[in-house]
Amino acid sequence: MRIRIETTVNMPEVPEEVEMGPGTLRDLLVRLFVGARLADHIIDPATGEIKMEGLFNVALNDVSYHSLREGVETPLQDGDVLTLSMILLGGG
Amino acid sequence: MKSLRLKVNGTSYAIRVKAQATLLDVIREELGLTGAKEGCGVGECGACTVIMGDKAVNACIVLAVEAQGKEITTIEGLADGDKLHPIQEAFVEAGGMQCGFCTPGMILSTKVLLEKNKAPSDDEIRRGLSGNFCRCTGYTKIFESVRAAAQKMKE
Amino acid sequence: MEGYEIIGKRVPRIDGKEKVMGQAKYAADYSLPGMLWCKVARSPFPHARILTIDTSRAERLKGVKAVITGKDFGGWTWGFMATTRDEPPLAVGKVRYLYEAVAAVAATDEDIAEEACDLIRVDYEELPGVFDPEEAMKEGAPVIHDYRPNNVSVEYHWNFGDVEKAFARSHIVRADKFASGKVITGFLEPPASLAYYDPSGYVTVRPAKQSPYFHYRHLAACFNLPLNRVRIIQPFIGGGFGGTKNDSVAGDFCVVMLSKKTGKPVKYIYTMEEVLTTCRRRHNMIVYNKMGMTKDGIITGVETRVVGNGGAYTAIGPLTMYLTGSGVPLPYKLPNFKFDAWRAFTNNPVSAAMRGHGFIHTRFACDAQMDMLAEELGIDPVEVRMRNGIDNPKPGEVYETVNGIGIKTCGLKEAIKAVTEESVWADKEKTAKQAGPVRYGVGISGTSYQGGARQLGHQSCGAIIRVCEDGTVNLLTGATDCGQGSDTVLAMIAAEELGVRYEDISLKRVDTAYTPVDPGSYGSRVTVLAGQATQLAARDAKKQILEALAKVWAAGAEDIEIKGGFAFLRSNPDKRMSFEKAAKIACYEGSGAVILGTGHSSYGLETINFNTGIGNGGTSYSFTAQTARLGVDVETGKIHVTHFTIAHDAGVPLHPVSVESQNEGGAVQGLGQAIYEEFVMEKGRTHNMTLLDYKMPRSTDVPDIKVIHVVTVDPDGPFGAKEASEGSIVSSPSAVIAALHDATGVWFKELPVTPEKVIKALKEKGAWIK
Repeated sequence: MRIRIETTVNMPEVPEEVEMGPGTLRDLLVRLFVGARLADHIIDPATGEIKMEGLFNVALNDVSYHSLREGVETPLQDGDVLTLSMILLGGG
Repeated sequence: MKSLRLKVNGTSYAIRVKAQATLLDVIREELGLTGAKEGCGVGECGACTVIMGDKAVNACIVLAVEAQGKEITTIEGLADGDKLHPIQEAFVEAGGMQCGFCTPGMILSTKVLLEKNKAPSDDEIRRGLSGNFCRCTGYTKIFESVRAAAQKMKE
Repeated sequence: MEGYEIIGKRVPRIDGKEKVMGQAKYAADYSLPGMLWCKVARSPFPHARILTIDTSRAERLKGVKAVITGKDFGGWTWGFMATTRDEPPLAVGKVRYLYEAVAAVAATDEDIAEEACDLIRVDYEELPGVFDPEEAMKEGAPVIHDYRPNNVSVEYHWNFGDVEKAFARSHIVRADKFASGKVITGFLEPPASLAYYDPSGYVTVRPAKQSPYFHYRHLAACFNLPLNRVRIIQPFIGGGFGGTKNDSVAGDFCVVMLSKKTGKPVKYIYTMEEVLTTCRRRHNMIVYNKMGMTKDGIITGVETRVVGNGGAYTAIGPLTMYLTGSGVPLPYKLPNFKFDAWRAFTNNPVSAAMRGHGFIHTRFACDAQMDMLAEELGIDPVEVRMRNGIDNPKPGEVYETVNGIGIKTCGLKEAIKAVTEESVWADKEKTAKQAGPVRYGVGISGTSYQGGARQLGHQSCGAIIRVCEDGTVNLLTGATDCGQGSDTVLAMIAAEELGVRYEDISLKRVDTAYTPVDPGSYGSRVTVLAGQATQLAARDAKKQILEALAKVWAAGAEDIEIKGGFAFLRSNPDKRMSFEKAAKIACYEGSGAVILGTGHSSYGLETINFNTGIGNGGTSYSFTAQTARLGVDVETGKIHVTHFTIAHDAGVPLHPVSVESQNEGGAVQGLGQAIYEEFVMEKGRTHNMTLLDYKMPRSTDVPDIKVIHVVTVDPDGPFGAKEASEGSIVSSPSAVIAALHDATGVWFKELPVTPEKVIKALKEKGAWIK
């Protein structure tokens, strides 16, 4: 299935579209960021948990991932849109 | 180390300084008078202006030993306790400062200017302050303050 | 300003007395017992790999207590955005600009620390460097950061409407290349900080920062400390102007680390040379601008390609390039707009924010091009501005630009009218056009700047009002007055809202242990956002006092008013008592209340999409019109500006003295950019690194300046206020360029316009000598 990715800031390392088999929001995030430069900010190296606070606001089809019933375990569907909005915090 | 007698704001100090210590170093570090500021350290900005004898000088390029026997006035020596000098009053009333870093130097240069010339023209004011750099105000309200100070000092 | 007790009055600055007495203390004025001095050792190459660092000789020097290098920071890096944290406190692995900090020393005095720096041996492998942004983006250029192999730090491509169609239907279209110069903030107080790292895990710092809360977050992250154990106590600041003092510099991190290692307080003060060669400066940009116009002088579209010189690290670059594009549709109506921008890494000191951030580069290009097109059509510069200018929206209406900026008040046309009625413009045909070799010219500009900058999480700001038992008031704010006068304005707002006298307010400067958070001074946000927080905090405190009085007077709280330091019944003003007495009652009666009012800025969150350009980063926008009169000596090329008239729409000038002073100072700083200031750089080396050689305007260089207030009463600012700090630095270069054209017939497209450039242009043009 095809998932579109939108960002509000320039992130050349993040593709605009991803092809993947069945999976959850967590799977998508791990695929985008594990091994990447920002990996440690997104995935806690000690626990493997998604550690988003302070970096991005993550929304799936315009719904914040905090509000999704299944959170990061939400299964994805073909055509879903992931939006990564940078939290701009001076000094952050 | 050299022994030195300094007279600053009417008080005499007997201190020991390194031969290459500047007057600014001594005023700020030894005497704790931090009104005179270090901006450029090479005598180009006037933030360190103090009055030595009857001249406004850049204390950062005056050796402390040169000041022996001279009367030094720093910004701290202008007010009479709580009562501001007319130049200080004029700057407060006209808003002749923003960040305030250049202000002590600007006020002391103004004092020397007005003591030599009671009614300076606009051109004379500009030239009298040309050794004091200000980045904040664009100088406009500083000129207004100097004109107001001249007026006050006449009265 | 009717109806206000304090707002609009020319009160003296709240900190004026300390400043004229020399009692205001700046970072460098502080000392602590046992204090050590820090000096930074710097790279002699603009681009090099660090092979080895040997600090042993430095460590052995008598008086040296500690030496640190990049590895002491454990690989930590920082940046403006989490995705671009690419800057280490001390270089690690390689150096990317000349004089980048490589090591630091703490010693018992400054001279010993400096000597120790010379004893640090670093082995470098010099690498080829690249110094021009367009060269840096070419194939085969030396790679500065591995994570950006093409040296493109930031890249945006925005497209609104259809510029091709717009140009096709235009009567005339121009394409020009403009360039802004290499300039710096020019604050007189070099960065400095006194830090003490208490071994119990608590840091106290006194740094020269106009955004102390950014530094607080940097230190918490760098030293792995919780925020509540990082205490920034703010001294007075000797000038900010954006960039360096909104960020942290090497010295800031080094003094904390050195204090941690030695157990002693450590202080650093940068020299002016370090400031001019290593501190943040404005991006210099190349602007390829294309503009179309109808036969009636109406702008049809703008296509602009911008290349920004980013220097060695990212810092706030992404915001810079965003703002550069964001401001183009202001203040003239623009239905079609295409923006392509690149920020390139180069082996130069880091380019960052500076007053007039972003807007200034494209405004310079667009204002000039608008005049070039109008001239071709035979339309005068005032007329073309009136035909294209955004009109002041009616109350309740919002003008929206193509990129999503909403304008509720716009005093542009009123400002243009005001400056044209003043003698500099009105009498220009009557005043001398030539005197000996000097040719005079008059120019006009009309520009806009963003105020109340806020972007997600970044604008959280609060205020606390504490009413003391004797009726005097403490205002605790996280906001920073770096000289612009915000402390005065916040105190005025608090006094007006509470109903007390201006003299009754004591403002407590930032101490992160006690004051609420605030992002600091940038984007002209303090009066608007911290002002709103202050207003709300004052209302909250007032409510508590009114409720206590209501009980005592057996009246409704809404029936009681407080004005000029007195509380009284609206229906019977003779029933009154002093605020002091009212405060005592509120504090002592009943259970004894502590009167504490809190408030925080509540302007909505708006997502700005940097990639598409859609969004509104400001709460409101100021508008400025400026005329300039100058003389050009056609023999020497020297320019002398004689007059500036500035009309600025700040919504409502809450403190007219500060609004004027900000406009005067901004205009002169803009003048510096237009004709005087320029870093002469060669392969990353700055040739002019003293105040004498980096020439900024002195008292003998400035024109007579008149500032006119344009009042539009904006619904989004406290008491109707908008920004007043950056409008004139944008309007000034454009007015000067227009005046230069009037005097010489030449459109100068590269700043600064030095005497050499004037002579060259006149020669090529063939000037009329008589």
